[in-house]
Amino acid sequence: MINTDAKIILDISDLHAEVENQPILRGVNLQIRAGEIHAIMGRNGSGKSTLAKVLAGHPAYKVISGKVIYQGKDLLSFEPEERSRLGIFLGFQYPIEIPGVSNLEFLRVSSNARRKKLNKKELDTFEFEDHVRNKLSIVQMDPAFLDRSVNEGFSGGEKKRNEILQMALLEPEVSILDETDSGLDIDALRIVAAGVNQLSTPTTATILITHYQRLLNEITPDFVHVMASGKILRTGDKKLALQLEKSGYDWIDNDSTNNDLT
Amino acid sequence: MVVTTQWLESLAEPSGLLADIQKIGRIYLSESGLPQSSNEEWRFANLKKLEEFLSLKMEATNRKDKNTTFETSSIHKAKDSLRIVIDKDFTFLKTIELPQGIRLLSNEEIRGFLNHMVAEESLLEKWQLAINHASARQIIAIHITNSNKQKIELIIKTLEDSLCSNRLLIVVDQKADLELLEVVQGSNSSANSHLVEIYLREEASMNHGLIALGNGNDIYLGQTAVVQEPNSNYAFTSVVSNWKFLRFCPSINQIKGKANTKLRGLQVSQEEQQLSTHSKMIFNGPQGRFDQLQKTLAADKSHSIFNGKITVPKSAQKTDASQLSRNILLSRKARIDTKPELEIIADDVKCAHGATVSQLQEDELFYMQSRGISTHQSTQILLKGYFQEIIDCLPLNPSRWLVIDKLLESI
Repeated sequence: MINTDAKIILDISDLHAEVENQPILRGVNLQIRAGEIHAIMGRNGSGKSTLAKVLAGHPAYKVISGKVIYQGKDLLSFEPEERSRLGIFLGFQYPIEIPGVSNLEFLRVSSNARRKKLNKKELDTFEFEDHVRNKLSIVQMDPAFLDRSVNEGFSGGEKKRNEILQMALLEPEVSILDETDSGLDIDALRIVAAGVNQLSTPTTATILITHYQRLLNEITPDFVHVMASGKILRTGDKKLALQLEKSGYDWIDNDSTNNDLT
Repeated sequence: MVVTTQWLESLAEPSGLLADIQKIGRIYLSESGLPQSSNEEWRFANLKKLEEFLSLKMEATNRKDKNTTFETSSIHKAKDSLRIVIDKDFTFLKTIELPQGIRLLSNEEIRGFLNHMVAEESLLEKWQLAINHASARQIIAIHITNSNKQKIELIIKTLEDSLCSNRLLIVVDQKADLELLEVVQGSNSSANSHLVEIYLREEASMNHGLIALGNGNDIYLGQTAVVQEPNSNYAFTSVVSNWKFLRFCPSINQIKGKANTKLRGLQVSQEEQQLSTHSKMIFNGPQGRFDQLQKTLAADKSHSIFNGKITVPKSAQKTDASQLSRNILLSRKARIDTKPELEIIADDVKCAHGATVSQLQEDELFYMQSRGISTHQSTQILLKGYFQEIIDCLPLNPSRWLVIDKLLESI
C-alpha cells in the first residue's frame, strides 16, 4: 500500500558490505515507508541475501560504508538481538535446525524478548502456550511442531511456516523474507503467502526477496527492485516482475555498466 | 614412588571383610608406584594430580568433625525409592528395614562375588583398582531378588581435605529390575575413589545413572564394572563435571554375548580441569548389542579426554555396536582428545563409530540472536539442548538434582 505521506521506516543509503574481504554490496539505496511491500529480485549472487543478512546483523558480513536508518535510529549500531527486539525480522532462506532445543521454549523466549521491548507483559509457559496456539492458524501449523526441537526434522514447508509463525509472534515493524517461497509446493506457498498478507499492516513494511514471480501473484508488491552486482539497478512496480519472468536478466549485462539506469 | 610409599604407610592396618583385598592393593601399589605417562591409558593424564590425590589423608573414622557441603535433605526422594546416604559407617544399613526384593549380601556371599569379579579384572584399570582395594574399608553389597522394579538412590558425600574410598557391589537376579541413581558431590580439596561392581543375571534389567559434580577443587577416580549374562539389559548414563581431576572408567563384559548395553555420557570441564572417561565394552559371545553416545564440552583452559574401547573377539559374531563421540570446544584454549579404539576379530559384525569436535555453531547462535535472544542466553539455551539429550536418560526423575542449572552455572 503506497502512501507517500506515510513515514519512512527504513532508509538505506549507499550501503557497502563485504564477506571474507569480498565486496558484495556496492552502494545499495532503498527507502521504505510504512505500509509498503517491496520485492527484491535478481540473479544468484547479486547481493539480495547479503542485504537481508546485513540488515539483520549477521556477524560474518562487514559493513564498509553507508547508513541504515531505522525508525530514526542507526540500525547498524545495534547487535542482532537488539535489532530483532526493535522490530526487524529476518525470515531465513534456510531456517536453522537446533537439536535439543524445544520449539515452544525457543518461541517463548524470543517472543518475550520482543514483548519486553514493547513494554508488554512477558508470558510464562502456560500463558504462552495459549498465545501461540492462537497464532498457529495463521500458517495452518500442526501444534505437534511446538513440542519438537527447533526445525529439526521439519520439511521445507514446515520450516517456512515456522518462520512465519515467528513473524506473527514477534510483530515486527520491518519483515525481510529471504526466499520464503523456495522449496515450497503451491499449496504451502499459498498458506505462507496468506500468512504474510494477514500480518501486513499500514504501520509495518515487508521486503520480499525472491527469484520467482509466483510469490508475487500471492503477495502483491508495491515496488519491485532488481539487484545486480551489489546494488539496485532498476525499480518498478509489479509489472517489472512480469517483465523479468518473460525476458530474464540478460539485459542486466548491458545495463550494469550504466549506473544511470537505476 | 615416595608419594605412594608415604600414602601406603599412612593407611590403617588391613582389617575386616576387605582385609585380603586391601593387602592385594597395597602390594600392587608398593611395586608399581604411580602410573607412567608412557602407559597408553595414562598418556594424557596430569600425573601431578595423582600425587595430590595421594597426599590427602584417608577420611576420619568419625566424620562428625569434618564438613561436607552437600546438603541433600531438602531434595525430595524419588517416588517409591530407597535412599541411601553414605556419610557415615555403612553398618547403619544393617539396622534399617529394606523393601521387599532388596537385601544385603552376607559376608560369605560378598567374598564369593568379589572372587568372581576379580576374574573380570581385565575390565578394570589396574592402578585405580589397586587404590580402591588398598583403601576401601567398607563395602555396600546389595542383592536385588524379585522382578518388581526396585529403585535406589545412593548419595555419596565427600569430606573436605580427605580421601574417601567407597565400594559398591550389586547383584541383580534373573528377571529382576533395578533403577539406581548415584549422586556424588565433591567438597573442597576432597578426593574420592569409587568402585561399583554389578552382576546382572540372565534377563535382568538395570537402568543406572551417575551424577558426579565436583566443586572445582577436588578429585574423582571412578570405576564401574558390569558383568552381563545373556538377555540382560544394562543402561548407564553418567554426568560428570567440575572436578579438578576426574578419571572415570565404565566397563562392561557381556560374558556370553546376546545382551543389550547402552551407555550415555556427558563430561563438562572448565577452568584448568582435566576430565577423562575411558570406557571399555567387551563381547565374549555372539549377538551382543551396544549403543554408546558420549558428549563432552570443554571450556576455558580445560582438557577433556574420551577413550572408547570396544573388543569383539572371534566368538562374538553378529555383534551390533555403535559408538558416537560428540564434542564441543567452548574456548580456543580448551583441548579435547577423543579416540575410538575398536578391536574386531569376528567377521560378521556391525560396528559403527564416529566422532565430531566443533565449536558452538555460529549459524545457530545468529539464528537465535536474530530472534531477540542475547548471545549469553543463546549459548545457555544451546548448551541446555546439548546436555538435555543425556540428562533425560538418567533414571529417577533427575530434575530434582538441578543438574542442568549446576552445569550452566559452572561454565
